[in-house]
Amino acid sequence: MRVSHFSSSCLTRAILGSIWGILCGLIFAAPLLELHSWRTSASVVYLFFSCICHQIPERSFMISGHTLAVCHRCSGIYIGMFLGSCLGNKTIRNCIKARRLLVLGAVAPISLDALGSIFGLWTGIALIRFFTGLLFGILISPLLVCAFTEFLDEAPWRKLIMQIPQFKGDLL
Amino acid sequence: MNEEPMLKPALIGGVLLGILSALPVVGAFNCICCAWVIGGGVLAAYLYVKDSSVPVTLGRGVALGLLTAVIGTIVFALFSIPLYLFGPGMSIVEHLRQSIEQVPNVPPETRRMLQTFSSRGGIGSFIYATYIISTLVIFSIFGMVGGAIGVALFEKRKPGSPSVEPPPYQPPSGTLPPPPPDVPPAE
Repeated sequence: MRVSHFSSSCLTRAILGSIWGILCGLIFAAPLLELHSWRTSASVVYLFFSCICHQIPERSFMISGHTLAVCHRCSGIYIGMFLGSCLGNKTIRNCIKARRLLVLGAVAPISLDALGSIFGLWTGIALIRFFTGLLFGILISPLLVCAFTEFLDEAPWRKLIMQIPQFKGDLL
Repeated sequence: MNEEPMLKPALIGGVLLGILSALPVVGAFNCICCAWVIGGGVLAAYLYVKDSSVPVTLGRGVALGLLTAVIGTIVFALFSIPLYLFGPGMSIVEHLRQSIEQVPNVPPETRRMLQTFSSRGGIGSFIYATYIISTLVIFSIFGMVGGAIGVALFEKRKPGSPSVEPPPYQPPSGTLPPPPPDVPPAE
């Protein structure tokens, strides 16, 4: 069962790392596509990310005058998620207290920065927005790897697969 | 595995996130990394952890977040249809057109193509269906993140440890068998 958990952890890490990697690629692809006159493709990418980000140009990084597909904070989150998926998650799996501290450490800075900006306490600097997002992503990503590994281990289809004799030996 | 019913907390979280996301001004908060969706997942996880008699795993939180997001999307779709049909002069197609207008640097030919598409009734519904499906995908991802965050925040018990005290031992009622006869110790 130990081997099985290890392999599903690696699988989850690979899947989540790929997803965050693709999203990071798309974020940078949008301005590059526009730069090379692939404007319709760029619009599709911008439209996709418009559901989850305000995309205000003043609050987004630029490449040669073209904004990235998401704002400073979201760019930090996606890059952080990608980087964080490469980190280990043994402590998170075993220690409940560390897990909670990790979540609080990730959520507190980004929430303070966002709420302060919303209520007009401060305007916020691009780099602070980016780094609070990056911190959130790096700290939350190992938790997600752990959570998705457990989800895959507990999922009902796994029970069904385990009943098939040829898979029984492979998984255990 | 924890078999506590997940439906009730998922329903509460899902209905709340669906309504808040569908409301015209309040729904804009979803632009901050799907705040309502993550919030709905966290709320569902809190309710589930509170009522659960055994420690809740992160995987269970992910499943709960997924269920919450699916319910939330259904509620969002049900609420957004009358809002955009009978709302203050804005149809679904108008709303979608406005979303397209907000995207920066859309080339005029693409804009024209999308407007031609959305002006036809059937294709307008097709675009709306696509919009709901993409909403389901995005809500599911962020709902699962919310569920995992919620369990990590609110679950204080160690996984695998029983949280409920086992009932004290009670000897079986009725007549007890007679004690064994005293046997002198062999020397």
